[in-house]
Amino acid sequence: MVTKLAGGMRGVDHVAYPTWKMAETVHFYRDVLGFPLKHCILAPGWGNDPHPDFAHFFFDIGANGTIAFFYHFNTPEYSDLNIPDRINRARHLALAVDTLEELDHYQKRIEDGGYQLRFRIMHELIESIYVWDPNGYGIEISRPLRPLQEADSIDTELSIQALVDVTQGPEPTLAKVWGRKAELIAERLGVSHV
Amino acid sequence: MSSVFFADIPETEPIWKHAVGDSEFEVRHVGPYVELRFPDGITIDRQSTGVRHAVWYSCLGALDHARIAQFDKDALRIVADAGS
Repeated sequence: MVTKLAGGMRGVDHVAYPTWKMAETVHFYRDVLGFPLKHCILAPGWGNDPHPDFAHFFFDIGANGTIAFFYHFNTPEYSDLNIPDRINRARHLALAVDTLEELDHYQKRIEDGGYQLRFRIMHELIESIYVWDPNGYGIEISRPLRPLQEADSIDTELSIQALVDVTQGPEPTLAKVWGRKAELIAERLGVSHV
Repeated sequence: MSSVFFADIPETEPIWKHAVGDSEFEVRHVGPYVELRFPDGITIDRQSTGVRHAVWYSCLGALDHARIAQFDKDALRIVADAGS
């Protein structure tokens, strides 16, 4: 089901990453995952800043969205060796399927394509598979385990408000967030405590 | 009294239903939450719940006048704490 926000937002147009591995990137996304190439721009560097000649190309990920890459000619490959592993794992793109069979299908494509699945995890509300793409970017593919309920929405709202409140104070901790949430539950839901 | 809140969603049900109180405690539904009100402490044995890791470690909603005494792969123990 395609849904839109009140302002008209309806999803991702594209997410873009730099690559220095053309062949491997095309193989992984087009051949291994089966994402059709949708568009490619070849252009000389232009604009005010010094800019290398480049290619900008887009793989279809469904629902009118794409994952895109820039290939900049004659530029040294960049990699931040200082980035903590925790941060590198936190930055990732999660793609969506609807069913267990579809998730199994992508796991098989990844493994048959010679890539190692990093994890398969049943999270709280989704089940996910994880793989590093040839560039070292984290790719997750997820299926929903159940639809979201009103309780999920309210709990999310209170968690975020508690997080905002606690992180504006000194020494934020998870214990403080749980405590602040109890106050918010009392305020919002009229709980009486004796 | 102290309270622990769990979001009233299917994933938390096997958790709060396996709570064991140090003494008698009350379970009540508050909006989209299940509240366990207790005077001293409650313990939930992880194995008794049968829930997966992600659900276990994200189950806790809120704490009122209570603090975590243990929250690991074996158990969740919450005790009364006047200061929080």
